Amino acid sequence: MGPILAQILTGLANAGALFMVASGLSLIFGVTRIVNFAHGSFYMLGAYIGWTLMQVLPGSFGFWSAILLAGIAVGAIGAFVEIVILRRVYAAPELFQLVATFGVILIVQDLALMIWGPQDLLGPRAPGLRGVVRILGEPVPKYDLALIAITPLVALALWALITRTRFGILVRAATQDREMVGALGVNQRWLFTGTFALGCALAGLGGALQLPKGGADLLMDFTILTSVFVVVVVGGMGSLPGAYLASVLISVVGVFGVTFLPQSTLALTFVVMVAVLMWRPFGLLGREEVAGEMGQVGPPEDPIRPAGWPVRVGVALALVVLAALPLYGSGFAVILATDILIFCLFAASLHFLLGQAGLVSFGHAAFYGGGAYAAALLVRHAGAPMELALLLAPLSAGLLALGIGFVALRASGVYFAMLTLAFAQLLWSLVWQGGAFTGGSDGLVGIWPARWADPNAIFYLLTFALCVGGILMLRHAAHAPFGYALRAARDNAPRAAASGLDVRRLQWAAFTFAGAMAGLAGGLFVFAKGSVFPNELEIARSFDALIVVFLGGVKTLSGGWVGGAVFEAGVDWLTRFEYWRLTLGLVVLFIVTIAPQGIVGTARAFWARVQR
Amino acid sequence: MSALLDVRDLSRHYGALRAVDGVSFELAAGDVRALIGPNGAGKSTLFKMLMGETRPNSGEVYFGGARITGLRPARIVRRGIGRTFQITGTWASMSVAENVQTACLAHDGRTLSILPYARHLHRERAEALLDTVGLADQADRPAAVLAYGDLKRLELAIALAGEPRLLLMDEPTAGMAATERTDLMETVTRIARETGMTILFTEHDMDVVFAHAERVMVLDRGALIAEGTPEEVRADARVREVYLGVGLDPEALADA
Repeated sequence: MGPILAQILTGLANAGALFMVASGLSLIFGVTRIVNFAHGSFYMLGAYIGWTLMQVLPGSFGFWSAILLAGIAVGAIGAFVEIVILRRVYAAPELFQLVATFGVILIVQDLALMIWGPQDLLGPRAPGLRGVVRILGEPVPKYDLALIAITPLVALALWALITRTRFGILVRAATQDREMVGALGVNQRWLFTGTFALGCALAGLGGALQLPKGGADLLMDFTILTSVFVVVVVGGMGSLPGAYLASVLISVVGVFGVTFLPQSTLALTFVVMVAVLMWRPFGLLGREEVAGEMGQVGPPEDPIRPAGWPVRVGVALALVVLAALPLYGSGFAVILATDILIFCLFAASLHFLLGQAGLVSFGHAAFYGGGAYAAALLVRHAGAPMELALLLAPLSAGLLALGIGFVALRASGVYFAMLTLAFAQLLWSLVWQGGAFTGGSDGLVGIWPARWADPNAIFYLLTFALCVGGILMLRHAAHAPFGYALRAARDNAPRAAASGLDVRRLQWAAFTFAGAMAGLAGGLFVFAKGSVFPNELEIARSFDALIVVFLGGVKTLSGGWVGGAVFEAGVDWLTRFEYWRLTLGLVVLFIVTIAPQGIVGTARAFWARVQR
Repeated sequence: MSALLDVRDLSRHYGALRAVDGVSFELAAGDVRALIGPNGAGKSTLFKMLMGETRPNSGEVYFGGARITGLRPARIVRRGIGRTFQITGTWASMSVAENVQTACLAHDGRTLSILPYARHLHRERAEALLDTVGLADQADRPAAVLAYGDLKRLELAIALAGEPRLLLMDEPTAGMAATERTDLMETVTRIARETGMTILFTEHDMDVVFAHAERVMVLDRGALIAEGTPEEVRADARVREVYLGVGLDPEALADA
């Protein structure tokens, strides 16, 4: 009995930070309809700022005021971010808001690296709460007990704020009907800023509170984000009791997982999540979320047409010139072009999913990295030749997409986005913890192409054929009945269903198709590099693809590969600088606020103006 | 002859609200019937249950002799029920003709094909349908730029592309000009006569109802309170009460 109680207590203590971050995320989403992907970054900032303050402020009083001040400081930073960036994108579609928050993630990461350095910071112990208490013979840290007491207090204070104050009434009213609140003369701008600041302050508070347990490091933003998404999905977006319930559930499951199944803690959490989702698609205490307009901005796009003959001839000529690159380009140019082509196919596959099906996936790297690992594992463990591995990579990724799509497509809109991200992170952790089989963090190395394809020029041509072929196939699918059916489901799903289209099955097929194409890109990547590491499955890789699609322009047919080419070439150049994430983040924010139509869209608008 | 549509004791409750409460009726092939009732009577909820968009709490729906309760919308559409929406549903990113072509493709069940160019498929059939609803001259315009009345007609063409045996229309003429209303309803009833298609429509415009429906059903607070020919319904005391309140001029309903 004792050990089990101790486990439950540890779970309850761990739930504290999780609840604060999740409730902040929920609150912000309720009022502003923005899923704040940078919420993990505010949590990280809270930890770092709290740590610095604890170095300065002495004693017990200093410790607790440092935590409080960290929360307030992060709230202020949140208000600044809201006023400077988010205010400009409230009217934009969800994807743009999400990309804007990615920009914030990148900037915060580099700023934290600049200010606090790359080493992990050990959190100071809480004065007066250093020891353990014996409960039923089991040692329980005193600080854990403090956290168990503090979390419900914070939850109660939040509840009182929401139900008893004028601010709370406005928050609840805005959550139900934002337009009506505006029509009644409430100043929405300050309501939004206030809510965003409050949500960020909660995240900061959570970050500072967990310092004695976990310290501060530069990975904590993504680590907490995955758990928070799981909590929000399980508890139901916008429900504070749901957030608390799910935080406790997930933390307790996590603690028991560490004891009984140490290899698969995250997997266990996911089993719980999938079970809840099957039973209640909108979370334990959540309500149905109307899926927003995805990936669209401004007026609906013009009907698409296959390119005319002049364009086709032009493209064919350009492709011939590109294919002949080994004849006139340097060795470095050939290798860079190989990388760019692979990345273009990856980006084009996500662009298809986003543009045609209107499905915003935040975990597309699962299929890119999944294809890469499938190929590498086949070569390593089954001795498969390159040709077979390249055939099975897209098939494996497609199968993976079939499975993930089955679960993720039960939800829609923001829930779908969060689920895809969570699944990608699950895959990443499985590979990371995969030991000798997957090579763990050491990756799999020495996976080279077959002898005939080994020269860079030949491998370039192989990549060229497969990637250009893949991109053309994705493009053609948009003109085929499949593309029309997908756009019908995207434009107006009820009308599509009333015409006999099985919307979910269509989306599932698109998800699988895009996943297979990303898997092909991943397979090629392995042989181009000769190795694969878990970072091909990271959240950051999924973000790269999203940023690219967005950079190229969602509402254009060419946005995917154009953005991919510009991005890959740009990153090759950018990563030579130490603080390249900061630069990339600023570029992203610049595009979000200044040129939201992306490269292709902006070029097209410019061309239309020139012609007039 | 057995009924084409047989609705038995269909109910849908939202908490204490009985949106549809024990509704039963039959439609024979070729019927043109109106479903009227004040706002909130449960007309749209009833339609949603017939299409499988909302699950009933209890009751059964039989179509062509087979039970369709609980089937998904796409399945029910395959059986031969089509519908138009109160808030007009079209696909804004396509041209007018492509909207109808896509509906034809959906009817074909060819929607997973990635080989042919879709814009060459069903073009003639789409043009014929657009001609039927009077939109032939706008075939190549983007659907997004159409006027509201034209969108209503486009949606009718989309629904007809599915060759439904039963067409449900939720306020088919709302927001249209008076002459357009008559045109649209005459087109629909003509097709019904020619092809044997059955029609069930809701409508607030009583002129449209009494001019085009063979029989009328009246729904109030979730329950059917009257059913009969337009004349019978017009003369029904309860219907007058629901629509006009007690003690008003009986002639008023005719003019409503």
